[in-house]
Amino acid sequence: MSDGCVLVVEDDVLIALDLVEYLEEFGQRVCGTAASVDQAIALADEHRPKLVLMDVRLKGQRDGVDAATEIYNRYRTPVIFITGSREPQTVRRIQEDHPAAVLFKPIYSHELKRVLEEILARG
Amino acid sequence: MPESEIREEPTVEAGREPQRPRLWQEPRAILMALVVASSVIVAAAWGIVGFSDYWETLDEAKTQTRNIASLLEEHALRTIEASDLAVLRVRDYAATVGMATLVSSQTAWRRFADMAQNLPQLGSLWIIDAEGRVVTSSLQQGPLPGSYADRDYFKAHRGGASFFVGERLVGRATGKPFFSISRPYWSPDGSFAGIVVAAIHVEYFTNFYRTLNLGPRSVVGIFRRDGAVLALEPGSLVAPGTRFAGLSQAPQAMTRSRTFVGRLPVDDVERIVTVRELEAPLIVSASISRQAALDDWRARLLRNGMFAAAALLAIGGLAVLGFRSLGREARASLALRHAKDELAERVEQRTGQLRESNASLRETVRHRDLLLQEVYHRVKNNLQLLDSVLSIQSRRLTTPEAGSVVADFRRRIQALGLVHGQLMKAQDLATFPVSAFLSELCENLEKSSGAAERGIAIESASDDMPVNLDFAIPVGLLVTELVSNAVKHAFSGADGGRVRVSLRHRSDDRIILTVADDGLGFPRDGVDRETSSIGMRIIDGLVAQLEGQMDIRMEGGTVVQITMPKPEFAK
Repeated sequence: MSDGCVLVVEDDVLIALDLVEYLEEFGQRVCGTAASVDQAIALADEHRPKLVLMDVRLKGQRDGVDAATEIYNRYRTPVIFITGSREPQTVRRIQEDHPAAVLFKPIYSHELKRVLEEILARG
Repeated sequence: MPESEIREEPTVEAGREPQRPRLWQEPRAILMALVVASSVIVAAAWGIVGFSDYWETLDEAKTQTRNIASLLEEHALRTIEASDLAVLRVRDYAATVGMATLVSSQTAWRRFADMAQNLPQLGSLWIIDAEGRVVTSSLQQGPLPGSYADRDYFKAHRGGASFFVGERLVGRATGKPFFSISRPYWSPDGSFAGIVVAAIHVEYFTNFYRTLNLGPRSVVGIFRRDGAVLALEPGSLVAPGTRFAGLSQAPQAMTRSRTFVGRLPVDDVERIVTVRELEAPLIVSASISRQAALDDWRARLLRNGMFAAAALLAIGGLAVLGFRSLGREARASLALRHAKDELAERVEQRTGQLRESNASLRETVRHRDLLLQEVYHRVKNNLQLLDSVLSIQSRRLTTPEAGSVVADFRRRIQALGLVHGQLMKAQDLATFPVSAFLSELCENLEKSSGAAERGIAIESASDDMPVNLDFAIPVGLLVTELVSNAVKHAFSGADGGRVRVSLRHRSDDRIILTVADDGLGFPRDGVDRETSSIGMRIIDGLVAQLEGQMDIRMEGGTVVQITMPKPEFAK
């Protein structure tokens, strides 16, 4: 459980910080936070994270789904999607992208912890 | 914003010429044909009537000359017969009294002379002896000198003729024209003894002929069979002793009447002539000038021609009016067509303008919608940021009370964020179904209030009613407070439990919001006095804002029921 790190992809600094603190609270090591798709892929290449926390809405043309596809294709890394929208269109797009889990904002500590432990337990 | 479509009307194709009518459908052509046809009919009627009238007039003139000729025959025969009767009476008388007595006796002569006086046509009676000497005459008793033996009538009788008509002569004594008829008389032994001659006034005939009044250049006459003129009206046409050769064409007492158009040997005038040959060796003839006869016809032709001309003028006038009217109509219809084209063009323009302004309106509305959506999103996002900040902040707190305060605060902020999330999804960007909102809110509250960890279920069952921001925010906050209170105070330990949230639209148009738990009750004097009193004040404020009344009762737990009027916007 202590092996490997978790990559946080979230373009909003305060939300990212909150997530990072949650993860640290749960005893996870965070490789870094990325605010864009390119940054996310670069960090993934660099750290080979064991898990990615991916916000769907990101800065730039492409979104979190694109980044997740790219990372999953390269490293088969599990991705937890975080979205503020329950729009069927968005949800469908996420479902097509092998999500390990989908969390809707606001993120609650217990929920995040439970999902995290489930996925990491899966190996 | 309902999209109002401008319906495309089928407009008149600009510049399209209407189909030209066929020639026989063209009013001008029809009118022209009418004018020509009626003119031809009028002219033809005039011509045909004139033509047949011409022949009828000539026929009438022929009939007239025939009738006149009959009358002339009647007149001539009576006149001659009466005169002949006088001659016969003289002869009988002479035979009775003896010629010597008749000549010498005053009384006998007087009787003889009286015989000449009785007939108006008779000028005088003469008795001539076998030697051609005048024995006596009704004019003067006693013989006259001179011999008449060489006269054709004397010769004729001496040759055996029983009746003779003499030529036209002029009386030596009277100076008046006459012609004679004569008969022979015989001695008792049967030998030729002389002749009795009657002189007949030509005037008797010409006066009668003049009364016939046959019109200008008409000629009426009586002739001997050999064509010698006896009486002719007008008399000035011929010199005495003239003969009309070839007048008699029929053998004796045969076809007696013929009518023809030709010239008499008196002048160059063409006449309609009837020549009638009598049983007596006489011929009568009546003739009318062809020109004169046709004068009436000509007058009628002229009169009819004037009528026809008047009719043609009227037709022409009407035609001119008709053509003018058609011209006006054509101009009017052209103007109408122009007006229509112009109208169509304007409609087209206006439609285009409307379409443009509609499109721009739609664009404006779309922009407004995007902007509104963006605003909702930003508000929601900012509330999330605020929530994250509070989350970060709460990790650094040291007392559970402070943690509880921040948690309350975060739940309120999350409720507000949820309202904006619903608005973002709303079709009209203003209203959303209250059931979906409360269901999501309860789901969130289950996690954020720690109910889930303690096995407390928060259930939601509401009527599907659209609500807007003004209603959803106080209701959302109210539910947040009431559910939080219930989770905090109604349950002890980790036995689990249930909180039910419902919003009902009652038939009396009032809204009932109910938050009911199956816990132990509402401990007013709980440990968390400070926070719950803030909560209660918020609840009271929100109920007042919703113009509602709150009712709390114990019923297998705590039941909080708020009755409020239906928000005005709700459908």
